[in-house]
Formats: sequence, C-alpha cells, structure tokens
Amino acid sequence: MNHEGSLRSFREREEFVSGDRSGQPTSLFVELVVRHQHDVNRFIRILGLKGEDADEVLQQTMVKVWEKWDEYDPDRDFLPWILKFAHLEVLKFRQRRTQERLIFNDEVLQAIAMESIQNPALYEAKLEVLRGCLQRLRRWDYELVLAKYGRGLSATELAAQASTTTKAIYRKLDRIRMALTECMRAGMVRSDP
Amino acid sequence: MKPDFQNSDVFQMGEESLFSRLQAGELPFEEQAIVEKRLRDDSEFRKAYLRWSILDTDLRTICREDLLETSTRSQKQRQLSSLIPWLVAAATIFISVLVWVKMLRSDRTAPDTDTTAEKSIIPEESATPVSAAIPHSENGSVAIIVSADGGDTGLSAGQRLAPGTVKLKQGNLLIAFLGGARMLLEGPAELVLQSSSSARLVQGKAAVRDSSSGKPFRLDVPDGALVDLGTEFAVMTDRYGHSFVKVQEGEVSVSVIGGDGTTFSDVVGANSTRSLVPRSQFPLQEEDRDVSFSRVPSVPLTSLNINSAYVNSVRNSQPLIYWRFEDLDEDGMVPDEGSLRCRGKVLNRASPECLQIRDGHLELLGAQRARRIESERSLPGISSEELSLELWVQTAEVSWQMMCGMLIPNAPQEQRSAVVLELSNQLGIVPSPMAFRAVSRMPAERTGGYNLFGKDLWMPGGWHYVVFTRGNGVSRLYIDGKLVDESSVPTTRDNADYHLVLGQLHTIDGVPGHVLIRQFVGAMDEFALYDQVLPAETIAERYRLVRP
Repeated sequence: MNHEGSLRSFREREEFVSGDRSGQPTSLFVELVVRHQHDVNRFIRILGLKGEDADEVLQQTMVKVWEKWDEYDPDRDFLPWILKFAHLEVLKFRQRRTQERLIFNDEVLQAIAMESIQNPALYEAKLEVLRGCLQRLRRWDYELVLAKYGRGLSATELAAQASTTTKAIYRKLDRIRMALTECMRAGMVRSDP
Repeated sequence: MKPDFQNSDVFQMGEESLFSRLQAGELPFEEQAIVEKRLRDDSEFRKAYLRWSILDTDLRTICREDLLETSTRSQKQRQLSSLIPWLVAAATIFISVLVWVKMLRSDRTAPDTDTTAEKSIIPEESATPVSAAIPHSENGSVAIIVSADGGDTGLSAGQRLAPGTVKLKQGNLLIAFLGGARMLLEGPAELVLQSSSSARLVQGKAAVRDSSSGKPFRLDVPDGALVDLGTEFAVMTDRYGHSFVKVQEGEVSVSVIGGDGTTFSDVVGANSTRSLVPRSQFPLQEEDRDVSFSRVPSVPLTSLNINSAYVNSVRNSQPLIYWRFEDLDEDGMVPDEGSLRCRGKVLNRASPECLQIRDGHLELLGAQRARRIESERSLPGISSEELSLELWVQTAEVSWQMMCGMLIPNAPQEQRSAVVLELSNQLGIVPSPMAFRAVSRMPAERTGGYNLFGKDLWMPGGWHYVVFTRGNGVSRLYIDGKLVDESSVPTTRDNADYHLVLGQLHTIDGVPGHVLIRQFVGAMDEFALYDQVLPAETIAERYRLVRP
C-alpha cells in the first residue's frame, strides 16, 4: 500500500523526523490533526456518542495522539492510526458510564469501529461539496435540514411545528438525504417532487 | 448462510427513522437487539449505517456553522444600523433641498431611498379607491371571519374565506386563520389570503397574534416576509412597498430583499421596531419612532349559569366522575362528586393564569408548557362497553384543540387514546373547518378509530353542551342537546388502564413540543363520566335547563 499520501512532501518528512520534541506540537502534527479532526469527530459519533460526550472523547483522543506522536510511522496513513486512539477513548468512556444505556454492545461497537477504520474511503466526502449541495436544495427542504441539524429539533418537534406526523418528517428527511448523496456523487440535485 | 433479517418489522421503517432512533436510544430493547445483531453480522448494513452517520455529522457541522454565520451577520447589521442616523442626516439635508427645488417646478415625486424622512406610511385617503370584493367558499377555506366592525363589506362573523384577496375600504376585520393565528385588519387595507398559515399584506395595517402550536404564521410584505415565532406583531405597508413592523410580544423573524438582491434577516424581539425598505442600500433598519397599533383582541370568556336542577339531574344519573370546577379542595385538586371519588389533579408547568378555576369553571390559556387536568389515578376498565362523557365547553381560538381524552398514561413515544373529544380544523377527513370530532378506539391506539363529527362551524366564544355516548354497538355525538352524528362500533371489552385528561392531548412531559399539540384554549365546566348510555331525552332536557 502506498502511504506517501500521508505526508505531502519530503520537506514535511524531514520536519517530522527532526521535529521539536520539547512539548510544542510540530507543524506537521497540527496540520494532520486539523486535516483529520472532522473525520475523528465523525468516527466518534458513528460509535454512538454525541454532544458534549463526543467533544470530550475527541479532546481526549487528541491528547493521547500527541502523547504517542513519537510512535507514529510517517509511512503509514494517519487516519487509521488516529482512529484507533479514538476507538480506545470511546471504550474508556463507555467503561466510565456503566449506569447509562449504551446504544451498542461491545461486540457491535468493535464491528462498527473496524469497518470504519478499514474503509477510509468512507471519509472522502468533502464538507465543501455537501455545502454546495445544501445550497441547491429547495428552500423548505433546506429549512427543514437547518431546523433538525442546526437547531437540533427532533423529528417529533418538527412534526408538531409542521402539523404533520413524525413518520412524514422521517420520510422527508430520507428523500433529502438521498438527494444530497446523489448530488455529492454527481454534482447535481434533482428537486424532490 | 446470510442471516435473514428482512422479515423483521423494524427494518420496514426508512434509514432516517431507524438510524436516528438507534442513535438517540429510542428503539425498544427488542428492536435495538435485532438491529445490533444485523450491524454485527451484515457488512453491507454496517456500511449503510456508517454512511448515514457520516452524513449526519457533516450536516450538523455545516448547519451549525450556517446558523452562527447568520447570527453574526445580524449582529453586524445592528452595529452598522447605529451609524445610519448620522450618515443619513447629512444626506437628508442635501436631498431635501433637491426635492424642495423640484417641487417648486412640478408635482411631488415618488419617494427616494431616504428612510428617516418624516413621512407617513399610512395609506392616504387619496390613494386608489378600494372596494370590498370578498370571495368566500364553503370548500377549501383557510380562515374564518370572527368579527367585522365599521365597514361596508358585506362580511359577517362566521363566514369562511378561501384563498384570495380581501379589500377593506374602512372598518376592522378580525380574521382567524385555520392554522391558529388571528389577525386584526384595519381598513383601508388589501390582504391576500394564501393558506391557513400565511397571507400577504399588499397595503394597510394588520396585527397578528399566533400562540398556536402549528406551523408558524407567515405574513408576506412587498419583497419581504415576517414569520411569527409565537408572538404578536403589527405591520403597516404603504403604497410604495415600504413596511413598518412592531413586535408587541415574543419574537418575529424578519427578512427583506436588499439592494444587491441578497436577503437581509433578523429576529426582532418584543417592543422593537423595524422599517423595511426593500431593494435599497439599508433595507432593514431599527426605528426610533413609535407608531400606534391596535392589539389583536382576545375572545372574552364568559361564565356558565348552572342551576340546581341541572346539577340534580346529573347526580340522579349516578356519574362515576363529576367535576364541577366550583373550587379546588385543600389539596389543590378538583373535587369529584361522582361515585369513584377520583379527583382531578392540576398539572400546571406554565404560569398560573394559564390554568385557573374562575367563576365556577375551568379556564385554560395558551402556554408553551404543560397544563392540564388529569385524573389523580388511572382508571382500569373505564373504557367499558357502555359509557358517556358529558361537558360544557367554550373555545377561545380557531385551532386544532383536544378538550377531553381517555389516554393511556405515558405511553412510550406516541400517545394512545381510547376516546378523544376535540375541535379538528386541520384534519384531512374533517368535513368542514372547526368541526367537533369524537373518536372512539377499542383498544386504544394512536390513530384510526370510529369518528363522529358535528355539522356546524364551531366559532370561538359561547358555551356549547357536548355529550358522547357509546353502547349497544352504537356511538353517538350530541351537541347542544341534539343528536348530530352516530356510528356503529364494535363491542370489544377493554380492561386497559386509562387517565382522563382535559386540556391537551399529550401527557408525556419532558418531550419538547408535545404539550403544544392540540392544546385546548378556552373554558370547560360540569364534566361527567358515566358507565351507561345517557338517553337522548335526558341530554335534550339538560340542555334546556341551562340554555346558555
């Protein structure tokens, strides 16, 4: 497998090798973390955490990655490496929250985590592309998406506001998602009739 | 061999519903176990979940950034607005001189973009004469006239309005939109009714109050829009397409097209004003001047004169529950004069005036939090083969409102009911807006059942006597002492536990928005429940005893 994509240039590789170990993040570390922070966030939420819990685990992951930065092999892809730390932090978090109902048992969590780590292609979707596709939605579809994902309203709340059923809201969101997915693949959106 | 998951019902719901509920922990344990098993064993299903979850996270990221950006831009607009008076004052002097000079030579011209000049935007009497041409229809109604004062339009209270134009030369119209909002239109004015929750003010003065739980009311103005976020606001639009907005209570989202074609938006709070000058350099500005607007009147609630003959008649029928709402007992509950001695628990998480016992009846005002009367304990087997529900009701709003229900307490996710008495103005199967509906389900369900409907339009204000009976395979609905509908129903025995609830449909507290669904606004009195079918003659006689 070609790992050269992990480092953009020979200069960056040199910087990594001769990086400052005095406790200050190297520019390469910062660059890789910034580039993949959103991917790590996605991964943590895939494993069932959300809100402040996900933020807490994300922060712990970044701390751990920095502590283990010396062990990173620049010839390896960075994303799978950092995701393994995120996985461990999620497991630690779950151990601390034994009183709460967890949405995945350990077996399922392992299967989902491995599927995710072994398929980095799943993370190729770019936010900029999605942003462009959102702008092409019909206005009411966009308002619905904004209300659910921006303001955090539940399907039940949205249904109450629109005087419709929760099921209708879910169906609408399914159609919007399909349109967005198609747009992101092909660069065009067809309006939902 | 690939495990067969396809037959499980849980996978019949769409991905959005399934994965949303999975992540929120809202799936019942059995269904969650099935889904987790498939996630563990089915790689393609796992990938579908991953793709869904990644898109979910990305949408949250982008949408929260968008909201933050909108809020930041509104803040910048406000900062810019504070400089406008100084900049425009200088321009005003210069432009005023030019206009004065031109006026010396010709008639007055159309106004410029100077928004701070002291000019009225109330339509002038010399404006284009308007006539009263009001289309109305029995079908496809979107609003009802509550009152028509001082005009010569031919409109009267109770008339239904279809989408179309209302031109008011003079006087006032109080309009109740079927979506729940009320509007006071002051003539001269021109208004286009667009739907049960939207209208367009072409010219004139309008005040809007919307405290309903339905779709937010939207009032379009020239190149702009106002969306009511649970509030009261007023707007004037002049013949040049400029508008002046004042928010009396709550908040309003205001949008207007700017000079470069982009949209300027702001959320305007109570006691704040904005002027909208579309397609100008400063399309949305705070206003210092105050303009007088009439407030949207509430429908006054009246008392019900119940005499001893009526009360004795009810007692003689031996009700299981009889709540008279004369007063609360020492525990703060509604006393029960029926044989079950099951008092009415007062649940009020809103302000005290939203639920009161006043003048011998129960009064419920619109609220953003739960308020209702609920039986103090569950009542097993109350939805028996024979039963009657009886009460006096006065509504203060045009909206979908549940008055009384026999509900399964705290049913997970969705409320299931055995009997519901309500005003249904947005239900697809309702024959006309604001028709009374009684639905009966055995056993309790969230939807479906056997429906009975009143025939007449149920207007705000005024007491009505409602009786629902079920027994011997027939359910009947009586309004004001007369039989209005009946239907055959099965005679299944139902031993489930129920709570009696008055005032709102949902009892699942803590779920945001639930308590607003079909919230009743108005007054109730003399509620009684029987395990027998009240005879038609008794019902007619009781109505005659009171005759509100």
